[in-house]
Amino acid sequence: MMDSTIKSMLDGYGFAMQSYKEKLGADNEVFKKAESMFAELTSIAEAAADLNDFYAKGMDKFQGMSTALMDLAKEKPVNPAKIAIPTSAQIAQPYHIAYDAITDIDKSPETKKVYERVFEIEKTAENGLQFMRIMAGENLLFRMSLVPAIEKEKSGLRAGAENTSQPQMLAYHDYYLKDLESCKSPTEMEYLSNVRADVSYFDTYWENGLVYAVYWTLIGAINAYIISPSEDKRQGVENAYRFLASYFSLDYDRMISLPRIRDYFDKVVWISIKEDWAKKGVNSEEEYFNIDRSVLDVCMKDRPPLEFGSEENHKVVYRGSQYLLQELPGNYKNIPHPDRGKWFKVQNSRFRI
Amino acid sequence: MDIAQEQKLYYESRLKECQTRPDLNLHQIAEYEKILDKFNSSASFDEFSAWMEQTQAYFQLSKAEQIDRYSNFIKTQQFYNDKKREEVFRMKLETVMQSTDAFDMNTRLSEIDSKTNPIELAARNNIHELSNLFMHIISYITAPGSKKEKTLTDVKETWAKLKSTDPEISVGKILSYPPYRYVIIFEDERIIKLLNAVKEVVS
Repeated sequence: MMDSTIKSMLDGYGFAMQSYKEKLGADNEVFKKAESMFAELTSIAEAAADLNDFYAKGMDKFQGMSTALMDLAKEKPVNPAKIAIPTSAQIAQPYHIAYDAITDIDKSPETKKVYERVFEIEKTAENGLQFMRIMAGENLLFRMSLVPAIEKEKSGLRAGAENTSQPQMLAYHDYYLKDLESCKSPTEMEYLSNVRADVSYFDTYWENGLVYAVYWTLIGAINAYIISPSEDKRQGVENAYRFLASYFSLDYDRMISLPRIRDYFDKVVWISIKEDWAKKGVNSEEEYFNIDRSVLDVCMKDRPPLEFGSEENHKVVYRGSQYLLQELPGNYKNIPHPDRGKWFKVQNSRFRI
Repeated sequence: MDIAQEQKLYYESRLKECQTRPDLNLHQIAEYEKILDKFNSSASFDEFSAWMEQTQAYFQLSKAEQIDRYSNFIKTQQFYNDKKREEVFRMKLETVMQSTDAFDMNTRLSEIDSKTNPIELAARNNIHELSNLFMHIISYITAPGSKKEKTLTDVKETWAKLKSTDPEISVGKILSYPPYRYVIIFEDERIIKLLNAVKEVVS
């Protein structure tokens, strides 16, 4: 049996050939050349084991067919108004292929409804023209993309972001779902998808930078000291702690109590280490924090006190606006969007290095 | 069945769909309006069909759709001040504008990918490496004696990678180029303080 994709491709060419036959006449020399090319391509397709085999054996003819169609398009029609009207089944065939490609698990009730309506129109429409007109009138061409995208957004992606402490992705899913539910044309859907994807791309780096600077710089040094204590590792802890104090005006307790850091710790860090620590008799987050605190006591003993930076250092910059560390991830309530007017421009810095 | 009426209703539905966001569908709206105007002014359906054929109306619609897509992407990148990605979409838009038929447009768009893909990849790599640069600088600042050399090497290597994909990279550009600032959590003062710690590498 012929591969469905190859069959669909050949049907498309077959329809185009039929249409040109009507318009140019069967005696047209360019048409005859294209017809012979189509016949060769069909015999290769019939003999091909699968799609890859077809591409491997028929690539030259495949490209030749495209060129032939381009040549046909330039021919002067003898019958300009003669239009071969496709059947509903011919037009609907790609939609059957698309529907079959969606796995049963992903065939949500709403997606099923959309496709069932498409196939119902296919059966009742007089021909392809009427089929397309009803499809357009009921917005089905667009809904075939939109509805599965909405269903996908509702399928647990949000919970996934929430459970792994990714506020930027949480915001992405929330806003993207709202975008999808309000958008009314394919162009708008693609535009909004791109805007959201661009925003979350940059925001993921921003989040990684935040967690690295505020949490991992110190905790990485403490962990290294716990594994193999030495003066060098102690120095590493002291340096990291001074960085936290100087760059963020935070000590350990204030750092670990920041909502953003605590969420990350609870959902990403603690969940991955708690079993190992339980074997060592550490059974709660607070007991684990006490180990960090005791390491800091040892490493900072007899050392000069921490020098805290200005209170301004409690702030971080997200897309041109300042937010207190304590407020995070509230920054994602104010994601700039091209549909909502002008927005931040970096000013020329007065600083020079 | 009235073929003419079926076609008219189809174009009217598509036009209505585009008019829900006219700012995003400018060129498609113009094409659908042109088709419907011609439909209404034609003496017969044959005249209308011949006009559709002669003016390559189907291709013009598909070209308008591509022009709208890339124009919208350009506007988005302008809003986010991403010059590199704006350039990518501008190149694609110009390619579409030059196309003469559907086959030509597909061929040209495939060809332009070989030019735009490296630009887009470099823009993405720059963001990745810039994010790495600040992490490496923090590692260098906080490293104990045994790790100073290794962490400084990381900073130098990252700077070299940035330089290779963005020859204009400088302290000034880091401070002033919005896509770079999107991934940095600090304001100017702390950025300068961090970059000063590796002054010999970045100046």
